[in-house]
Amino acid sequence: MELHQVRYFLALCRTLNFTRAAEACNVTQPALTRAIQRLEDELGGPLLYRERSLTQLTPLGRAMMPHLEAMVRSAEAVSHAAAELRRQTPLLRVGLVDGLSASLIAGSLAELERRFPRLELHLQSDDQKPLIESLLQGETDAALLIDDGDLPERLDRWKLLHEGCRAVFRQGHAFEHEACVKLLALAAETVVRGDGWGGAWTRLCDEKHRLRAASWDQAQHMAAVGLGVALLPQHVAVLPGLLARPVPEAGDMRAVVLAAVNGRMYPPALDGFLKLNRAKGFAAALAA
Amino acid sequence: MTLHDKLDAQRDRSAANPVWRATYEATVAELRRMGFLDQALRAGGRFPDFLLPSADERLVSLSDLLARGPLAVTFIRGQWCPYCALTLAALEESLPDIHAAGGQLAAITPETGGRALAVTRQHGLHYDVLVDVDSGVGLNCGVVFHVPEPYRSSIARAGVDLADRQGNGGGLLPVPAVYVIDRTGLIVRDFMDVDFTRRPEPAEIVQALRGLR
Repeated sequence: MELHQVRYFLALCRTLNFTRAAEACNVTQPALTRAIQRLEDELGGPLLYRERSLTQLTPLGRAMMPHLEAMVRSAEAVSHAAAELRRQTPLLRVGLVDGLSASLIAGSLAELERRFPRLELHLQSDDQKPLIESLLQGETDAALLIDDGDLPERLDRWKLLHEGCRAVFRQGHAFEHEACVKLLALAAETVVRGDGWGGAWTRLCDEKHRLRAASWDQAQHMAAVGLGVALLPQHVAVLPGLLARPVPEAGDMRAVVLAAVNGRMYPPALDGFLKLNRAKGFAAALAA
Repeated sequence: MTLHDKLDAQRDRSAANPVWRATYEATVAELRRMGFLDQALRAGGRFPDFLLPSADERLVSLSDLLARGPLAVTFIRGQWCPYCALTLAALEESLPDIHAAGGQLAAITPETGGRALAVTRQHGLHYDVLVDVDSGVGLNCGVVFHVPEPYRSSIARAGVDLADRQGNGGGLLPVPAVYVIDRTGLIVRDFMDVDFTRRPEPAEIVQALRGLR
């Protein structure tokens, strides 16, 4: 596969017109057509329907477009980086959904700081809805979100890790002596339900809970005064004085994804941030 | 045993399965028919610049590497490929010779999600494994191809989910090309074969690096 073939195809996706695409790419129409034919040969099928004056993408063309866009973005990223660096102060704005610790991305931030010495770095923490809005409005560059199956299509997303569940309780609770907490044991407890679980909560239990908290911190404060046991996602930081134990039977409760708005090019610091975190393994044990 | 011997032995083992063998032969034939290597970047060209994550979470550029000396870069397909595994191990063994020749080594993988680090640990590697996220470098070099049937299904049946491993659903793999690059970024030697079971002997890479100081 060659870069120019993919560029021509993407120009065709945008213009849906062979003449205009060839002009946009500064090549003759026959050259563009030949390149598309080679690409179709490699991909194993037609990418466009040509009907008289109408050109449309085939299902294969539509399916391949986002992947090919990602590849061109990756191929062109570095040639933009050097030029950008000379021109301006790199800026990176990253959001983390409530409960996700910045420690997850701290390594990548340190490396970006080293690589882009004048980097301005803004971190924010918020609920998912306002974070998504901020991304879509172009006020945040990338965010770590929970994949609740409802993320807008305009967001590219890459799975970073699955999170299990931990039981958090105060010292002196019987769970202190267990290495992990069983679902059966939880059934006998007063559980503080955190609203951040969303649909995943039904995997734990479907009873009504009289104790509900809007944030993970609130849930922990309730646990701290003995109101009950809080069930928190694995990576939420535990308040001082409280203890935590895994709940293995709950399995993987939610997927944490890295998200950015789909676009033609990422600025270099953002490209570096996304690449570093996609390249990295977050799970404790990764199957080969 | 040379790397060639080990690769031959592995190929013989795999080829004992007639389905694998038929798939392998069809794939190599298809890549030849497509004229795949005609389009790839070859000796005489300039290796494209890059800024890629390493297995240990650094961003590494081509300039960083070339500042230290001439470079041999090898594209690998992934942790699932036994031929890549043999190649990575053989290159690790030859690393003292590569360094003695004044050169250095880097491997480029399309696999994300910690697999670069996993493969580094698995083989005890002392050279960089860089992650070509979304295959941008591969595309710039013209060494990536959309995996044709029947190979694509064969890989999937073996439990290898390329989309998951690469974080990209494009269904691409690199040809395991090796480039030897001088300090100015000029490619002085390339080794590539559409037959993914064939790799250059490390001694050939060492030879190409010698005298490039």
